[in-house]
Amino acid sequence: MTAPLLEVDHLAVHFGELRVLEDVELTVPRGQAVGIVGPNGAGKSTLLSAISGVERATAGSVRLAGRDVTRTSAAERCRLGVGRSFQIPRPFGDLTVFENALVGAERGARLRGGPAREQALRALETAGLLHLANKPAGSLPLLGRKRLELARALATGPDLLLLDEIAGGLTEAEAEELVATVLSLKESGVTILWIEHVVKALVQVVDRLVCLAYGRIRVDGDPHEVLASDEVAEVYLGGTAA
Amino acid sequence: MSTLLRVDSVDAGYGDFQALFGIDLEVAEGELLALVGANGAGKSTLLKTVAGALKPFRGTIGLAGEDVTGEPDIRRARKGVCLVPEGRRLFPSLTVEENLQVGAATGRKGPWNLAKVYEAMPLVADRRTRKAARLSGGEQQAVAIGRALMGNPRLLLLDEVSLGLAPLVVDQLYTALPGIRAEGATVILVEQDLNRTFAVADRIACVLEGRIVLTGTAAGLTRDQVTAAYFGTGAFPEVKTP
Repeated sequence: MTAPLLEVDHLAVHFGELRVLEDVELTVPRGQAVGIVGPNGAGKSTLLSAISGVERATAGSVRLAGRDVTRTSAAERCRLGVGRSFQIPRPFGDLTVFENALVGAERGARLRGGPAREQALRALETAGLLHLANKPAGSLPLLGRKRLELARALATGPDLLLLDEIAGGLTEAEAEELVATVLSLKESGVTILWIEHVVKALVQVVDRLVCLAYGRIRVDGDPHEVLASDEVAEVYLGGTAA
Repeated sequence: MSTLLRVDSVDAGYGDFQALFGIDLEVAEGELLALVGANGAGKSTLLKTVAGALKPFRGTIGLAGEDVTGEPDIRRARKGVCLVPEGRRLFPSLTVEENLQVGAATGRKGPWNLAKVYEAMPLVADRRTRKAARLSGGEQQAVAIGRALMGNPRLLLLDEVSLGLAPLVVDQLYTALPGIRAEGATVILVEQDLNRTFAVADRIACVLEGRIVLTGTAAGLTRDQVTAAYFGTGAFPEVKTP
């Protein structure tokens, strides 16, 4: 039997006195799409950071396809197939949109020359950015910068794609396009962990929903059952349950 | 009602890129105007131009009958024009409370102070001693809104107000809006959720490719008209300002 693609075991992340994550358990089989919701400050982005290696685990472990990567650098985890988009976009502003994607293809997927360029272009096409390929990344408006986050992550050729709030601020039509894009990625076999407050978009894609609050996983299961649970209504959705 | 903001024939953009074309807009004292439109339509550019963060190529910005086109953002802030910018822009090394106090640098007297902001936004109160660098994305957004309120705005500009906020917090924020208006603030907000827009706005202006293509009272416009203006499809009525 092959190991699950991602196993997070008793994970804790503390920043000094601040305990952002405590005892998080999460196992994701290959090909599954998991949504993460939770109140602001619950630790959602930090969980993605601990999985991608940007933040170090204070305790517990992270395994990728059975391999313990808890002490492995973010760069090495990226080469092992972890792609990540950031909630607050961080493009290389002085490089073009294409060059930003190329960094992902060369550094993340370890491609060179033609194959690297092809992969970068494919990533831009999937993210709907091909027509802006030669613009400086710093000149993109917010939506463009968010799409570039996705394109850069895709260019690394990820097996595990970590998405941090990519639907916020989109019009309904734009959100529908995004949902179609993420669905096609899922169908191509990519495993997805997606933090999103736009629950309507999220539930169209994910097989499973996790609600994080105060640094712990509170509810984990079928998306519609999780959204209907009293606890999620209380800590997250408030009066206007979706 | 007297006119608080008068935008007259404004063209604006960045370098040789023009984002706004011939914008005419009036906002009455006490009114809540919602700007809707696709990403890249020019909504944020319009808010920045009103706030003085961006100098228009042509045209004038009038505040309470006074031409402020030549005045920088800080002087407009002292006159009560307070912007919650896209991307939050907090000072990462300052605490939440210190960031809020920066907002009070407008020197304006009024109803808003630390206690009042904490009361309106419990999420912010819980984090008051934390460094902004250690806030989650949604927490940063809430603090950015609180910081603008600390300036005791006469004209509050909210860009992508719900971005990154959990549904429960968005509810709290919209619940706080009538109170903010009752304290005398005129509000221009950008919001992608049309249901919320129609629920709170007195008037709606649709921005398409740098032009205002439709304005009307929330009661006088239909969802279909606004959606058509988003995409630039179909015939929508001539610009009217009842």
